[in-house]
Amino acid sequence: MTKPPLHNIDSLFQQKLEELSVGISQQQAQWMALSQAMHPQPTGIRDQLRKPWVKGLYMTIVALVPFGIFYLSNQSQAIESNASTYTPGSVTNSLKLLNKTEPSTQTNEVRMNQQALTKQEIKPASQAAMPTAILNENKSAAVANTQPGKHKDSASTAPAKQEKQITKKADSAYIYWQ
Amino acid sequence: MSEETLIKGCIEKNKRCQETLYKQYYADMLRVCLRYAKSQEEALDILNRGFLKVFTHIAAYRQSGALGAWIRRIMVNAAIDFYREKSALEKIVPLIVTEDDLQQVFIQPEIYARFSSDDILLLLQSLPTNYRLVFSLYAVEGYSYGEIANVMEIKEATCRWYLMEARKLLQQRMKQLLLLTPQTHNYDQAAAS
Repeated sequence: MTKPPLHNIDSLFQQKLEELSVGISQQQAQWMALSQAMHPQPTGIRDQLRKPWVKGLYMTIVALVPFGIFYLSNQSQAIESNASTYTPGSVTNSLKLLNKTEPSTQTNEVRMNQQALTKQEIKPASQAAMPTAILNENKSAAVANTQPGKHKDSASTAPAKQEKQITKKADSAYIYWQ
Repeated sequence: MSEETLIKGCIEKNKRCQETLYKQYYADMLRVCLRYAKSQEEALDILNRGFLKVFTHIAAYRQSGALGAWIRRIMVNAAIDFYREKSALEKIVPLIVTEDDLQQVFIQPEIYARFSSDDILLLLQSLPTNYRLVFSLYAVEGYSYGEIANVMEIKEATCRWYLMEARKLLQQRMKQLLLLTPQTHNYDQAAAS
């Protein structure tokens, strides 16, 4: 009876280790880790920009920025005609802007407004001293003097004597104002 | 996919070819890495480091030998580099080792049959790092003393000493394991045959 051959420790280990069964349960996870190391994906903002909807939103915002700037700049140049925001120079500035945009139609209006401005400036100082009844009569007389024969109202034709007196007074007052 | 197409795709850094090559050699290379590693986790780490080197240097592969053998050599080097980086390769001054000291240790068949592959792996992983590396390179891979000395950057005498000590330790631990564990079913079958 032949004895079975003895195994040296080296061959025992070699044979057993070659027969070792290896599980592949972690194969996919290991490959993903290696793939990430070899082909790194961008992270952070760059990773977000790869998404199509983020890209679209970003492009929309970039396209709208110039329009937004244009809109805001136009808003600051808008005419402020609010009474609460009135300042001594604001009406003049607004009128100047209007002159620039529509020069043909507004020249007469500007002159009339300027005349109204000058009259308005003079009026407050003198009106304080005169009674209001006489002021009103003077106004109507001034109107009759500036536009003679254009229209004949009952107010202007009926009290003729009073008008003469008033006109005299108005003339003297008018001259005084001048 | 043929091997040539696979290699060409890997040189061009084709992800699909790389994945195919990885999965094709995964099991064999993990088996190789387990001989050198102390644990499953370390073996997986060494495996991926090795494959990273494979894909980086695939263009340098000359088709003189088998691709598997080339990858295996890279895995072994990756394992040694792994422990060198961890400063686990201790440099010690060995005692003088004679040829008698390096005599083979023989095991009876009945004892041989009692150890499964997992047991052998556990015994190997219980060795100190240097002993394990030298023993695996010599006994399992078939490297010569000179080749091992060159790869591990140690002297041949040191290499012989590590091998001697590794065999002694393995024998001791196998005896301890036999004393501690009862007779297994495998042993009964082997004894009956």
